[in-house]
Amino acid sequence: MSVAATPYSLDPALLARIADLELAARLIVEGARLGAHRSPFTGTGAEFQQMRPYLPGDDLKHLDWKHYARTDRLFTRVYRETTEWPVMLVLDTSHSMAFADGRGVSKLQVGTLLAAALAYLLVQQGEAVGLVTHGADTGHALPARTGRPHLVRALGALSRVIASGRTDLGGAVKRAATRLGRRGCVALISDLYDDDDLQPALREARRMGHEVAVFHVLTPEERALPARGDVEFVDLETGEHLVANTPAIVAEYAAQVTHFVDQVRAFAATEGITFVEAGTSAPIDVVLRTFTQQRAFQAGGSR
Amino acid sequence: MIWATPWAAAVALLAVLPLVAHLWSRHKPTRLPFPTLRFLRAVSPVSRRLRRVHDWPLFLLRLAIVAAIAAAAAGPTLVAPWRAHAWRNRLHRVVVIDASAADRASDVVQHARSGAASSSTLGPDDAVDLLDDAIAQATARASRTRTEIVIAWDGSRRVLSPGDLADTPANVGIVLAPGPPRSATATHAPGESMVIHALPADEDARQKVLRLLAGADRPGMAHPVEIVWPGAPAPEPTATPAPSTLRRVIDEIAADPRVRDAADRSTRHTRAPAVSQRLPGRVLARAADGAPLLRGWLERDRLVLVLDAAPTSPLALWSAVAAWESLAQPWLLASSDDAWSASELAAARREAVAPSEGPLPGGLDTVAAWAIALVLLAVEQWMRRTRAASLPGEHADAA
Repeated sequence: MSVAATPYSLDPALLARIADLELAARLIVEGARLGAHRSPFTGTGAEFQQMRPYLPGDDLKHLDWKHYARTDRLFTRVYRETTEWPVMLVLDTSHSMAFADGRGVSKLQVGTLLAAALAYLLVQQGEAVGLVTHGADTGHALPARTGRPHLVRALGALSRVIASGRTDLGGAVKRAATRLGRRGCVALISDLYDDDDLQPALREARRMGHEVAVFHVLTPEERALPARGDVEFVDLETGEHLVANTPAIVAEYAAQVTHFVDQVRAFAATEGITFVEAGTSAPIDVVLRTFTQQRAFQAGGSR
Repeated sequence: MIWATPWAAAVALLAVLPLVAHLWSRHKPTRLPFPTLRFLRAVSPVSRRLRRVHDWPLFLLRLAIVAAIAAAAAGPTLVAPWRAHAWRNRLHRVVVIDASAADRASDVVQHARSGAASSSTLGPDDAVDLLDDAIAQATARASRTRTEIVIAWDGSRRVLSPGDLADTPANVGIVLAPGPPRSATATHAPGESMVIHALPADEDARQKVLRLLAGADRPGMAHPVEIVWPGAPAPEPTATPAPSTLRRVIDEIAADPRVRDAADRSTRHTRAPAVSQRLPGRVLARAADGAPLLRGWLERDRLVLVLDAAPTSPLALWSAVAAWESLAQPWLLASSDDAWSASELAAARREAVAPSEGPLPGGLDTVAAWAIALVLLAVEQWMRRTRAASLPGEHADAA
């Protein structure tokens, strides 16, 4: 499922240079709305859903008396669940997220902008939003709350994150799912370079009744190695070295990455997880709209 | 190992070239921080190790090529005792051709070269004038190899006197090759030139003598020789004067070292007269106790040899050989009175002496070193082509 960029889409490289994270988030959200006219999340509160014929046992207070007066038939008004739907953003701040593409836009910058845009959008719609960042230390952990003051705190936390340490996405996802307390949504923004713990953690979050969305952030250089001859690769997280002749391994490397992405995508489809590719070269509003469409497709257009 | 041009070993400094080429081909890889190595490990598990294993043999081979070229340029010589001994015993001949022997210069030079490892020729010119150059050349060579001076002239004292050879160093051998007078020719065919009375009774000795005297390549002689073996009645010398030239033949036989050596090893004939009895002729060889073993005199135009030794003794053979060789050398029969005598020739001749500590010259193995370098180059080419065929394009460059 692909979504084309609109004339209002902003280049991630340009957004990354905007110091005010709230402004950048607003620009992204506006671009997404103008492009698709649909928010990725429905609002909360009591909403009329449909009318159906009265059945014995229905609460009489929901009978539509006016309709009965007009048609002499009993109908019951059915309302949609209107409880608050909290969203916990999980941002991977491990050292691997510091890798930047050829234009200097790092995966962490794109992830931060994406998280800020989601938080801005959710708070505007009255949803509760929380934040879990994971890097060298335990990171920040803001509970899911509504209101602009909370948005300011979340954006402040996002503006201070730096990439450091090793990846433990499984632990971060578990922590976010636990802090939600009740049914909500866990939105993971990461490059998914976690070997063992991630998929069990995501599966567990789904078992807990949460919706899960995964934004997979990769640079074009990670997808296709630049043919630079002999390259000494240094692992950003472990410091390990590996020398390889890139022209000789380009094709096989690309196949490996594609296989990895396909594997994650298949796992997401199996577990009912919304999977969105968020490359550093793709406009972030396009990523948001892609997410919206995928989620609507998976949820059957309603929640 | 000794070197002809040790300074050329500086060429070995070129060994840095393959080192630089190798390092250049490996050129330090670009350092690139990367999010994860999991996919790289999967596709390039031992890339660097593989390159090292493949490169080192080629690198060492290239170093060996440069070393071989440097060694070849420096002119190596592998020193071994047997080799040094063989080198010192190689014979170098300086051939001096006098103008009087110009007509047989090619024969003399060819004969001199046949038995020598190297030779140089001076003349034809005045032998005495050439002798200084010959001595200089021979002296220069004598420090590292056996050296002889071969002098070809007509055998007369007017051209070359024994005193002219006095300046020749003691370690330089002298070979005198006096030439025949142009008028000297053989007058008697081989079959009729030697008369032997009473061949040895011993069948083996008889066959040896017959084989020796019936040699097909034996040239004719200017005068016949009559050999009286033990058992035959000894003739008495007559008063007939003999040609003076034949006296030289007698001298030659008496001075022949082979005859003297054979006399030392021979035994007297049991029926020979007592020592105190006066025997006719000149005694040419004596036993250790002074008893005559071989006598000879001149009878008109023939030479008579009387053998008093046992028929099977070495002297029986060598007396015949000496007589035949002497009579077969026409120069001995030259009519000129100023010719060298046999004793003078025997005294002037001497063997070349091998230097005791002559060093091997550097550079004997230069050709072998170049050959090794070429072989290594061929192997290097083969290895490069093999690698290029077996590796993908980028890896082939790395090799």
